[in-house]
Parts: sequence; C-alpha cells; structure tokens
Amino acid sequence: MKFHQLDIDKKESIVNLRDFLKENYGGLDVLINNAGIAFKNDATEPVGEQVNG
Amino acid sequence: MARVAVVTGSNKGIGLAIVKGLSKTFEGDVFLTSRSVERGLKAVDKLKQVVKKRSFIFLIKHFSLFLCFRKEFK
Repeated sequence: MKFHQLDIDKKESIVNLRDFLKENYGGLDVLINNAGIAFKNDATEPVGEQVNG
Repeated sequence: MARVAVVTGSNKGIGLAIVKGLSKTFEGDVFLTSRSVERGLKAVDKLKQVVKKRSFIFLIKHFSLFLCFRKEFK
C-alpha cells in the first residue's frame, strides 16, 4: 500500500498524480472515485471542521 | 508493468476501508490518496500496522498447529 497526495479540487494536484502514474505504471487500472464530502445536518461542529477532519 | 489502483479521498471512512480490502485482493499497487499529506501518511502507517499484526497472528496460529501435529505423529 502506498500514498500519493491528491486534491480532486486542484487541477495541479490531479495533473501531478496523472504524470506520476503515467511514468511509473503506464496508466491506471482501477479507480475508486470515492472523494467527496457528506455534510451531517445535525452535527454540532461547524462546517469548516467537518471539511478538514 | 505492475498494475495500479487508486482510491480518492481514502484517509478515512469508506475510502480507507476500500483500500484495506483492495490491498488484500488486488494484485498490484494500491494507492491511498488524500488532500492532506500528513493525514494520508498517518492512515497508511495505521493500516500497515494492522496488516502486520494480522500476519503475525496468522503465523502464531499456524506454528502452534504445526507443533500440535508434530506431537501427534511422534
């Protein structure tokens, strides 16, 4: 298991990972497009805290 | 070339669980990705520890089984 930084909201970050994968693996075999934020309406902490947790 | 899987937003929650599952079954490299380098690396460390513990328990179990069998056949 390995780590790579990726912020799907930042083009630069996406391009960075793409280039890395292209160079080291020649492509991508499986993508689990999981990233996203589900706001909990009844949570007591502020929105910013939920996003950065 | 090695096969590769990427799970976005996987430093916690369902994404983390998917990485955990994939790393057991997927033949190739599994990438945990997150916005924060710190949180991502922490999650990888934690998962690796779990896997280590699991294989240690596996080893102990089978070694004791082996000892039992050896006793039986002696």
